[in-house]
Amino acid sequence: MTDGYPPLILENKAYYCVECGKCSSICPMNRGEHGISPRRIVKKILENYEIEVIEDQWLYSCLICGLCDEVCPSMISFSTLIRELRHRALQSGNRKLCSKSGLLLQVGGIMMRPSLKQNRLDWLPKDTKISEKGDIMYFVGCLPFFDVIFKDIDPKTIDIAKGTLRMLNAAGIEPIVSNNERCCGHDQLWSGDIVEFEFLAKLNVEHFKELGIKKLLVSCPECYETISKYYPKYIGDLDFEVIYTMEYISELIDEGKITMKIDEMKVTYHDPCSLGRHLNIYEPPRNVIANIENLSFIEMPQNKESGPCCGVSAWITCDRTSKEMQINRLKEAISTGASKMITTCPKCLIHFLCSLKQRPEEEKDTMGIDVIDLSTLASKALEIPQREGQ
Amino acid sequence: MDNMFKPRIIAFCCNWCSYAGADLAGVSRFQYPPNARIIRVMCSGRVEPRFVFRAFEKGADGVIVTGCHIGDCHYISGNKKAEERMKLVRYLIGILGLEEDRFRLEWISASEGQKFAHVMTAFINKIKELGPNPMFGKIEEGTECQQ
Repeated sequence: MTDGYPPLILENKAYYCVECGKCSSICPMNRGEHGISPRRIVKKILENYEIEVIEDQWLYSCLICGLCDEVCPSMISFSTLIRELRHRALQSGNRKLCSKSGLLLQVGGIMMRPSLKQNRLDWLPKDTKISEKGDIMYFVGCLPFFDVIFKDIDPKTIDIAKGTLRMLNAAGIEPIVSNNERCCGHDQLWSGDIVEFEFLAKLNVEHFKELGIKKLLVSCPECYETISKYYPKYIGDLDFEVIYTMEYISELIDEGKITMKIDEMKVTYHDPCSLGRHLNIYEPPRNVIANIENLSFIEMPQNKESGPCCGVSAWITCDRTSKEMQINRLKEAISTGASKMITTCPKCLIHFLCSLKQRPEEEKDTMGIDVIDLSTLASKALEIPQREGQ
Repeated sequence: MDNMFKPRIIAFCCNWCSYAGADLAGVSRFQYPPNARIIRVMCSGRVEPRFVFRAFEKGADGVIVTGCHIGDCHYISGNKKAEERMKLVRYLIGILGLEEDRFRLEWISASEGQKFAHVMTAFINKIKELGPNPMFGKIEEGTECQQ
């Protein structure tokens, strides 16, 4: 019965589309100037106008936030469809428009060179304990690079890694931190560059095998999603366990190995798409926040499954619509009365801080909110009990 | 083997000062090694970090960016922008594990033909000491972003 459909539709079971239009009405990019519509894309492919979709530059404005996947009554995965389409678009010569003229994707590309000897551990604080060999490894990801590239915004992304290591150390865990890990390939995968992604993935997995690790801790939601979900899909099963640090720390807290206390403040939490809708991890970060003493947590009106995206995906497009989305989200956070908006994704952090920095002077008073990463905040809260213990 | 090594140098020269400086070095017949490939840009501020990494990725052994002296920029502050950007490049080169000496930023005015020849000779000698670009090896060609 399904014989006549184009392969893209078959793979993603998009023939189940009932044309209800929920996806198009919820799509944040459809509200902006782009007019990207998941339903129209499916319809066009169904009627064999795939080439039109592939040649359209707006194919790259999709944020892969997964809101359309969430509301679809036919369970069509539009994000998978978009990924496949981008792969084809790249092959046919329709190239992506990158922010920072593609420097961030290029750094990943440079890391594809097997002969490269990186020098990426300069940030390690002297009091941090790491081991050369062992079962547990901490995957830092692109944090050292973001810290340099976005120096003008000053997101302090490297504090995420420092904070994570401090928390692990406090619980008596000394993970391996490797100088030779590569980019996880998330941005390459979602911009359709599957060849580059597989290359990076293989390099990484080979390196992990050499180290003989059994558990891989990952603090970046995108790296976590890529390694745990897409590495097995594209390059075969992994012989180690991939664990998200907040889940791990949440367990450590439950075991009583970590206690946290901080000055009284109101906070709210922004769910990154890759952690939330893509992987359904909502509770571990909230559990960590709940366990920091004196922190009063207020949920934003749009939260968990309905939480909006930060506006940029894989460094591809950043434009007026993205900025609008960021400002709307920040205003939502301010309306809760919180003084800090917590997130767990370094990219969300960078995008929100960028938006805050760009606000005109006269708006500075009304936009008084701080965006901070959960690991950074939690490690700050860790300070007091650690000193008491010593 | 060392004598066989002919470094490939990419030099980004700004249209208003350094390119004219290079020109002056030429017409004045100041000698400097022929390893540099000069790319003329309208301003040193036009050189994006990506250009430098692209050069390294494509096999350059050294990259030098030259522009007008601070305060002399044809576009008033382009070279200040370049200075900021090139700081980023230097950090990134460090993290990626290349020697920081493979990259250099110099201010050369249109009248400094002699300086141009000196800087190039010194830079090329330095690269000869460092040897070939360790990053350059054959890999599958990645796809590029649209500019």
